[in-house]
Amino acid sequence: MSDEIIGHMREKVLVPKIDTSKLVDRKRPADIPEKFVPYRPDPKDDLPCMASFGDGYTWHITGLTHNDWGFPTNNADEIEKKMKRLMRKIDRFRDDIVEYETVSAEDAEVIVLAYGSVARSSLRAVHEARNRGIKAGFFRPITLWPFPDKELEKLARKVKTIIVPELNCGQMVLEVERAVHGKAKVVAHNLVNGELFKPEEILAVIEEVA
Amino acid sequence: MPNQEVFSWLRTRFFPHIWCPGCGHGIIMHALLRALVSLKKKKSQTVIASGIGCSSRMAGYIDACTVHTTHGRSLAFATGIKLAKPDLTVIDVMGDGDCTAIGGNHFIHACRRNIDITAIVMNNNIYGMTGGQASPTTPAGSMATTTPYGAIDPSFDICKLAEGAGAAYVARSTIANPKQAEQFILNGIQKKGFSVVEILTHCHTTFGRKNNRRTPIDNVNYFKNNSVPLAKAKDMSPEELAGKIITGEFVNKDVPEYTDQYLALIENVRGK
Repeated sequence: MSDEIIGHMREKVLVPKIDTSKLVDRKRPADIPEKFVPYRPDPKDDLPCMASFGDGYTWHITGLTHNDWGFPTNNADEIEKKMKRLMRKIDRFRDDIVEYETVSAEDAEVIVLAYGSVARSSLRAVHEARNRGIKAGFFRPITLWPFPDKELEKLARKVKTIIVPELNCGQMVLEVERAVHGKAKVVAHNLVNGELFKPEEILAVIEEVA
Repeated sequence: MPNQEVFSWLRTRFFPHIWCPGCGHGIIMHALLRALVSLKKKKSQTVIASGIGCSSRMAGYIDACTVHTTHGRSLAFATGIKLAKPDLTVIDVMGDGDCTAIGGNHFIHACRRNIDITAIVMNNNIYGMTGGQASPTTPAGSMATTTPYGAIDPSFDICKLAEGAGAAYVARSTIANPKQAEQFILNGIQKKGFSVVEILTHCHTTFGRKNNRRTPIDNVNYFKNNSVPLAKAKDMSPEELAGKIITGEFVNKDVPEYTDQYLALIENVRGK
């Protein structure tokens, strides 16, 4: 997920070297083509096998709710089975999927939690607050779903206040409140006039709550 | 009963199909399967992509590598598949809504690129599955649920659109002439480049009932009585051709094909 500011921004970026030795390919079918059922998960690991077009298998892909054969279905039991498997899969790999970044959060009393382009102004404000002797920290969710809720909850036990600046009337703040669950004070800070946050605006909020 | 080889291309496991009794889509599917069989195509090396709507269900009924994608975007999926595996035979089956409305951009750019895909457009002049809303090919003056006083928008001529956008092969037939439809599909598949085969079909359920073509046979007769072969149409005036369906092969030209050019570019860049 990206946003308009990041889409229009130009600056130097460092592309990390990707270690391709860790790439995991999809499980390929062991069955002969006549026996291949493309969406039937293996009971051992709950994962179905995937054939590529041209590999000798014929199968169907659809965007609709489907059965084990990939054919559209309105059968409630079949749909529920498929949906629950997908959720199980996400839950199982939740810790691999969730990504976030923290800066000087270890001893922080005030955390600024920001996503996307707002994070840049927020980080600058946090650095500036540190220069002024305020124990400020920074938390940036990289994935919004699954939300880094366990990690945030752990941090919330140690801090007093979490500021959530957003360029909207308050969306992610609801998710933050859910994760923090009353363990720290959550302060929403919103801007919807078409301008970006200036670091000093966020700094002012940090100073106010510190 | 179709011949056994043609029949073997059907996923009867997925039957009954969703098409209304008397729908023209089955005639087009049969024509496509006959063409595939006579070209000795292999199921596991043949891709059928489709969009959304009644027409899109065809992909599911054919035992090949099939993708039922999003509305109008099947050509984007088909383009990706063809670029990844140029050796596969890629056929895109779509409706008039897929081709000229929601996927209009994908369509003209696929024509422009001239990628080796055969697009079969089942033009029934209406959005049938969703309840008979007017589409860009609903003829002016026709009734639809969204044009209760008659459509005033001029309709798209899919073949002219494809020709103008640069397709290598463009032809039109109707479901009243299944042999011709089969031949055009066969020619389209054999053509190295982007081929468009428009086949006029009917939706008696949502279009016919509002336009005095209530039964399937009314529609077959309508197509028979109003089709004019291209050779004959050349000698007719625009007034004589009003409301007529010109059938035949409009374009059959050799232009550089996209995957060939793409692979050559890769070679070229790597060679440096």
